[in-house]
Amino acid sequence: MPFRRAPPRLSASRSVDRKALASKPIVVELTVLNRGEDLERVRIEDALPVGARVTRGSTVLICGLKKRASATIRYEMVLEEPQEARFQDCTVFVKSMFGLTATRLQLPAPSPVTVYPRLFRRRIGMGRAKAFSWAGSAPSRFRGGRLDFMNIREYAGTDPVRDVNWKATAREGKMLVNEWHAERGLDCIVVVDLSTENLPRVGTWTARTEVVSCSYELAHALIHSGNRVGMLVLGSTLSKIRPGFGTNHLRVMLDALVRSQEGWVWKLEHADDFLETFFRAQYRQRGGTLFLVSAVGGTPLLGTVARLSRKGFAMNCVLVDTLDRQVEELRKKGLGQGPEMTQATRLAAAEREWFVNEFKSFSKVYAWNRQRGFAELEGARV
Amino acid sequence: MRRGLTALLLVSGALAALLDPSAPVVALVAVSVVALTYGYSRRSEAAVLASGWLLYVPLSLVLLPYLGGIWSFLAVAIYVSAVIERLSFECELSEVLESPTGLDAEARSLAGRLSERELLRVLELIALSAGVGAVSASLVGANTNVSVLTTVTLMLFLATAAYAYALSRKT
Repeated sequence: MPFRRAPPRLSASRSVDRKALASKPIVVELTVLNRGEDLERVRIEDALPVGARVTRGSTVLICGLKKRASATIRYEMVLEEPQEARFQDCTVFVKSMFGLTATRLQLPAPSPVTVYPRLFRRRIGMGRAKAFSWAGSAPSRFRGGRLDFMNIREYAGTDPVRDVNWKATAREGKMLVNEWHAERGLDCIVVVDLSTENLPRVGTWTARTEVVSCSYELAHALIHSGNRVGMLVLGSTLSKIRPGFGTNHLRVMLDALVRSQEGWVWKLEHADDFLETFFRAQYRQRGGTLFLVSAVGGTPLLGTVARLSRKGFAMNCVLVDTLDRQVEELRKKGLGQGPEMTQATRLAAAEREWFVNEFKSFSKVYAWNRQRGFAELEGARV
Repeated sequence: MRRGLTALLLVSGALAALLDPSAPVVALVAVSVVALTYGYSRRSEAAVLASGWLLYVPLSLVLLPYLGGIWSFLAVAIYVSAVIERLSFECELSEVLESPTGLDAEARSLAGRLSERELLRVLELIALSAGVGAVSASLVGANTNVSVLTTVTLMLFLATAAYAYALSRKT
């Protein structure tokens, strides 16, 4: 038939780092290859993952594509929230030179990007097995530590040289070594509350990022102090990670945090049931410690803390302070000015203080802020 | 170039309104200016095309006493087609080139090459249209029966073009 052109044959491929840090630029390259006839005018549009924004370059390219030629869109984008983002299809418009005809094509170029929260190690400086100053029942991974001096005894032949007490050896004329109490690690579960009702929200902003960052920071500090740490993430899905040691275990917990989504399904009120189901009654008998991380210190959290405390858990509440951020977001929307806002902020702070005092009857209470982190651990107690 | 072409259309419209201040001409020019302003600020190709074609009749009427019936309409049609084609292309191009977050060098170079090719095609179009127009006009001048033949040929050409367009939409 006259004027009939062969349909365009195009394919797309994407190059992007699979792992990235929140708020750090990610370079994306999308290449469209022409496998068919020459194309006079092509418009390529890439679709960003949800929550991403472009910081450099453009997601649109206009060009001509000759046979077997390719064109590459290159840009930098930023994802603010820890999440598992996904690139989907890109759209290509094949046009005649004067734009009289146009064909729209959807080319698949999927690629996942896991965005991890940033870790501010400088905020927490703690020794081994001294996380939050509690010693737990599980032996620390760092065995043979020198937490408490116990006794001097004769050299047994297999003792390390660093334990030899040279002064006592010289005095007594025989080889003597120091004996130490083994360090005890904290055996704990971090319960992360991402239920929608307990996440402050202003417009499109939610406190999920702050809660995830706080939980990661807490888990990191606990793990690197030689403790055995488990995790329970409540939200749209329930993630449970059995207690374990080491950086690989920390990575497993971090992945669970990144994949977590806020939701209505799994709520903090049922945390004790989940703990009982997943960690069994033996966990309670071993005297485990719980860290409850939540952005709202409200009635549901108070009820949960009281119940778990009565069941024998050593309770610790970590309240993620997002009041400043909420005010900031309200200001961005032009709502944060005037005496009403000052009064509302004071009221919110007073309400929080009241709840904190109530929590103190059942639990130790800690505050976390995205600017200051946990700051000084002892000083962080509210 | 987008700014220059927009200014060219605006000046053309203003001249048409000044030289022939009749109510229909002024109204058409006014609507054209509104469409052009909207098209320029929003980078709307449809608005730019509409603004150009709204100037077709006013400009032709203005040139009528100077160039005569056939030549004035022919010249204005070629002028308006070429300018608005380029301007609508510049609208799409500027959306990419004037991205607030910048553009990498390779993409800029590819877009630049396409722009050059498009400009060449526009110039080809102008030359071809002028050539066809001149031949048609001279034939009509030589033999009045040729005008009927030319019209029929033109209609056939337009029908074929419409058929080709419909086919290309299916691909």
